[in-house]
Amino acid sequence: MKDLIKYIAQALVDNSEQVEVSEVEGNQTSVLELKVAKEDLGKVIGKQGRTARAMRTILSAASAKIKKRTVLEIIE
Amino acid sequence: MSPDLEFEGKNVEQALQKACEELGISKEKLKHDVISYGSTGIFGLVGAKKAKIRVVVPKQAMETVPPSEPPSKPQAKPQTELGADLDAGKTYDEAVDLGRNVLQRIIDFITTDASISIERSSGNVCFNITGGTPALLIGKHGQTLEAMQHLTEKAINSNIKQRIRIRVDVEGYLETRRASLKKLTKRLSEKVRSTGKPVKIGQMNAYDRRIVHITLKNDANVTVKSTGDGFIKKMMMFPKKNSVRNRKTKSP
Repeated sequence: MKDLIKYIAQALVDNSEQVEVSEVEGNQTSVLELKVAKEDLGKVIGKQGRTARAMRTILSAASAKIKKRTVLEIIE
Repeated sequence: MSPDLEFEGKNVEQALQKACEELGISKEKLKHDVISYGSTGIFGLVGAKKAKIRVVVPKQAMETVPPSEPPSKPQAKPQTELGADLDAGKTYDEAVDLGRNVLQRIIDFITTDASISIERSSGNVCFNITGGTPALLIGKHGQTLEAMQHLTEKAINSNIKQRIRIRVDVEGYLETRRASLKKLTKRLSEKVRSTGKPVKIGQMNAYDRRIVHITLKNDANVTVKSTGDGFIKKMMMFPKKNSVRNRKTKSP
């Protein structure tokens, strides 16, 4: 799951080496924390949060397969 | 060769600065007449005029300037245009490949054994996904499909000059959805016309709403409005006022 978000984020931003994803795993829910360069923040959020929403939708569809919930947080 | 040169700028100050740069002399030494002061127009949009000055070129600068000025402009333009075209042509296939990779990666996480076929038409690339579990790939109200399309489009267009429009489809879902929505819309508009009462159509995303709006664009009897906020809205279908009046005058 972590790799997926990292891959997507790297495809979206300009400074792909500054993309960091960390995972905090819980029993049922795990939280993914996405960190990107400051000037790329807008790119991963998108207009009206559209890109962030798309990533969350993909994430929930992907985590349905492993019967878990995953939450994406974008960290400034 | 005239010793006078004309320079334009947003205002006189800018025109002067331009002249100084071009001629390589300081402002104090420059002799100039103002031809027009220029105006910003309304909100800087309508009727904007450039300020124009005429500069008397001093003798030592004269030899260097006139040949460099006229040919520089026509030369520069075709070069940049050509460069842009070449760049876009070169990266177009790369971009499509990148999109395919991104999409395949996403799909592999959601379902297994799904493959992508690519169809190219003018200015539009269609990624068609087959196999796997279509229900998972489409999602509720086509949400997952929309998300995949958005992310792929963003990834493709992040490092390219010319914008490529794409479409992501799962086993002809978009076409069937379109057809069934059209049918539903036609049926409901008939109902609204005969009863004269508004009807609600529930839970649609932007793409679905677009289809409904287009279907009823030229309908004389009903209008539609999207209600609510958020990404998934409901739509209300109203009878048009004149058609209600017609019905009322007819019925008694």
